[in-house]
Amino acid sequence: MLKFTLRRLAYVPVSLLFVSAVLFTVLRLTGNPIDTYLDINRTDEQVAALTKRLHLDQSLPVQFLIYLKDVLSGDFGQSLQFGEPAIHVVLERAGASIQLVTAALLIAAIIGILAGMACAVFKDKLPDFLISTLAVAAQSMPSFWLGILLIQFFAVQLRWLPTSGRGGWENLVLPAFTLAAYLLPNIILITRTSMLETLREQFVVTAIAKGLSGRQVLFRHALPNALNPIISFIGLQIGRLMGGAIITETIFAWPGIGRLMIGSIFQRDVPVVIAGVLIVSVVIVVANLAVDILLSINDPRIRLD
Amino acid sequence: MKRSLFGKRFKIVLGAGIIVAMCLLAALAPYLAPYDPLQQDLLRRLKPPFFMAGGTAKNLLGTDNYGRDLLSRLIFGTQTSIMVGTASMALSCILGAIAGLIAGYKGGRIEQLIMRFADAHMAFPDVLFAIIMAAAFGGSTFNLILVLGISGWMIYARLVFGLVRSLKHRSFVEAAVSYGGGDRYVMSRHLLPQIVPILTVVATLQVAQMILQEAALSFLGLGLPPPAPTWGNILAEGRDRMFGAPWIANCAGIAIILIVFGINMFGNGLREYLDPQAKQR
Repeated sequence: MLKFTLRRLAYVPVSLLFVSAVLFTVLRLTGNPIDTYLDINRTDEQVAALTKRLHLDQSLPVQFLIYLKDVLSGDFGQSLQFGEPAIHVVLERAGASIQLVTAALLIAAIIGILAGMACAVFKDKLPDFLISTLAVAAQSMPSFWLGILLIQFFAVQLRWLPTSGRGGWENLVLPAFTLAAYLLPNIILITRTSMLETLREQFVVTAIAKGLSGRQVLFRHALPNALNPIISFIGLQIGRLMGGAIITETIFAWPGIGRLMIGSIFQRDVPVVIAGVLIVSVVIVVANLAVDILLSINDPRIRLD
Repeated sequence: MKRSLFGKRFKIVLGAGIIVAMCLLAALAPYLAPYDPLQQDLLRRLKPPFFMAGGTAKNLLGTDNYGRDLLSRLIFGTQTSIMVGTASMALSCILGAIAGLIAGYKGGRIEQLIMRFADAHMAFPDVLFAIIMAAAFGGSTFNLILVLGISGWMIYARLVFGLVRSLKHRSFVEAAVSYGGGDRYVMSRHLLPQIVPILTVVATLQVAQMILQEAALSFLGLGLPPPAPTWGNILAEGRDRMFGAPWIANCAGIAIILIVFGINMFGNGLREYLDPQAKQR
């Protein structure tokens, strides 16, 4: 187990190096960084000082190394709009984003797995037909419109929930369901397929023959064996979920990293954008690692590969 | 057999019907749209659609905050969606297929290089990539296609790589190599034709994803800058008017869901048609 984890851990720096390299390339392709820091009324002394501070007088490879060193020590420069270190600005809002993504992930996993199991158990009967058709149709639903519809219905018409912002749990409901909709239809369909395959296996037949109750067969015997495709799918989709979180935060004015980054783009606050992208990438890489470890706990055969 | 109604023919026909209708709308937009999509009429702003109280037949789907005709804007919006969707799909398909072909056929170092690169890129979400690119270069049709095209190549690379690796040792490929076929000849004349059917299905479904992505980027303000009539822009404008004029966001939402649904139907129908086993599951 330890060996597997360590081997898997070796991929982490490679992925992060890749992200940093892409960021650096794009940054340098966008033209002179001095233009983003100083306005038209700049003096030559200011330009010279900034050139030295940003190490723009060095060669590109040296610049890249300096940039890597800064990134490793968490130094992304000062935020242009807030006047404090960019990394602080980003980390301050990380809590809100983590809360949103975790809630969405839980909703999608629990509802998705239960609905998918219901489909498998009632294969080709009414519940299966209804749920699978709905799931296929939901795949065409743009989540940003879903969010707006939910606000119109639950917040404006029924007045049950607030329209936006962050506060108590009632603020979390609509954004979390909107974000969960990114994964929900696929989790339902994958669970259905995987459960159908598992239910045909010999050990399930044995469990039924032993006289176990339907619930025991489903949750103790079938589900753990059907779980791996679902976990892998969630792992592959974490990036998409993070992208979805950016959109969801924008719709609901949720004060997380995503909304901060979008706002920073329009403010040309490059340090914050860079810090945000890198933090989100770290989260994705770590989440993927966690998924791989989870997979190998659930199915020890994977470790042998 | 309740399911026979939703058989493969039905899906393909329904999907193709929606797609053809949308393409016609895009192509004939200047003739079909009742108004200029950019023409403002501040005296007639925020008029509801004809089926709501206060709506008139003058603006069938109502007007937006600047008095622009919503129907005309939606019709012109099909142009951007279809063009960006197909062009970015084509770009990522070409990039990914070439990378996958080479990686699968050559193997060894080149395979490691290409596939590890694809893995690393997989961990990097498209929206983040698009945000950086949009922040760096600004929004234009060309940039959108470039961003979406580059962010989707890994899917094709992985798919083609897997297929080529399994095809490589089949006798018809070995025969082609043994009578002196060069790498490029074998890849383009013997391997590629085998992959095209599956590639077509994935590519079709990806157009829908690209259209959703384009709309999402426009919605965030990272696509074509306003007042360009794209569905994402209309939706973003509708969000700000959600309370007084909900029809703006909803009409754009329905337009997006319709085309994405049509493409998904067509793609899934095509997959079941080409691979009857897929339907069994």
